[in-house]
Amino acid sequence: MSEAIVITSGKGGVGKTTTVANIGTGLAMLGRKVVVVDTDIGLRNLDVVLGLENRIVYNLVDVIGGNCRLRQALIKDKRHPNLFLLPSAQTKDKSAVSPEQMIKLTDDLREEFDYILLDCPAGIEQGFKNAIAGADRALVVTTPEVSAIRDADRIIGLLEANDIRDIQLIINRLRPDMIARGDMMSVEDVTEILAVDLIGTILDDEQIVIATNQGEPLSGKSSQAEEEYRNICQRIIGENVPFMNIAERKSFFRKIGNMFRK
Amino acid sequence: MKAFFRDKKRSAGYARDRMKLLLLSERIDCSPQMMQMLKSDLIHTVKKYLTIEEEQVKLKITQEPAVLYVYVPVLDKKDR
Repeated sequence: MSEAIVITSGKGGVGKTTTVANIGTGLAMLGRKVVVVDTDIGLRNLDVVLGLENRIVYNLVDVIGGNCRLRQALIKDKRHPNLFLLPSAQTKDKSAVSPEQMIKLTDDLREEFDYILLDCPAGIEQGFKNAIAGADRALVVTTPEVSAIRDADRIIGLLEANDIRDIQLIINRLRPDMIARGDMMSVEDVTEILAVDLIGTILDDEQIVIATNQGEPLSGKSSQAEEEYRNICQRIIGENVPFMNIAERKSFFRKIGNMFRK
Repeated sequence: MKAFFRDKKRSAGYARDRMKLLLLSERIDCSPQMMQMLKSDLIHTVKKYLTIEEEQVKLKITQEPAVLYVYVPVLDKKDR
């Protein structure tokens, strides 16, 4: 049974694409066959985050327009044999694709893959409608900031209005030090405000910037963020992984950090 | 208890309260001022019949379907 999951946020720059890259890699490492689909037509990004930008020949618009077969457009990630990318077009615009075509594409991908991860563009226009059209389930990415939370709430309403009821929240870029001194909304605050179930929390981690520079997802870097992404992947496949307390985790890592400093 | 100490003087508390009110009003297309008026009218009405903890009254609106939930803690006889 395959599942199509849209990763969306409303606001741009909260970490959707990085999340897709890391969850895609994580699920592939758990032995699932995964395709990550960049649905942001005109502004493609998932390819560079995954370090696959030099291998693109055909793209999503080519597949939909019948210029190539689906298999020809899929790029296999050599580091992870179970992971494939369907890149977006850089030259076309969002009107090149319709929601009906996206449903057809998603259904074709279901025959090959266990998980189809749809990287949604920012905003609530055509690109968003395309991205959610074929999805069974949604992961909403937000940061603990007022603008991102407001947009996430709007997105949750739109997902529900489009009959996507399986919605879970990822809170990205958390800073335990700021939460502790009361200058950043906590995980509890954000989940209470948005009133959806939480699937994971990612700390603000410089390893993410480093990994993106290098064009490889975090897997194998043994950073905090990597561990958190792995937990999210396990929750996606239905395992029950307990949530760690952010304050405790911080002190644990601080202890380790202090050990090395001595 | 933790929430009590992490009081509203810090910026996260402001952000939390602003967002709760804003999202509540956006979900039902009703301005934050109207929400405040709704809340104080509700408190006013309930107070005619019950002794309540006014500061603890909370409004919540779910999206799709939109349902208004009102949380009103009622004081015990012995607490009055």
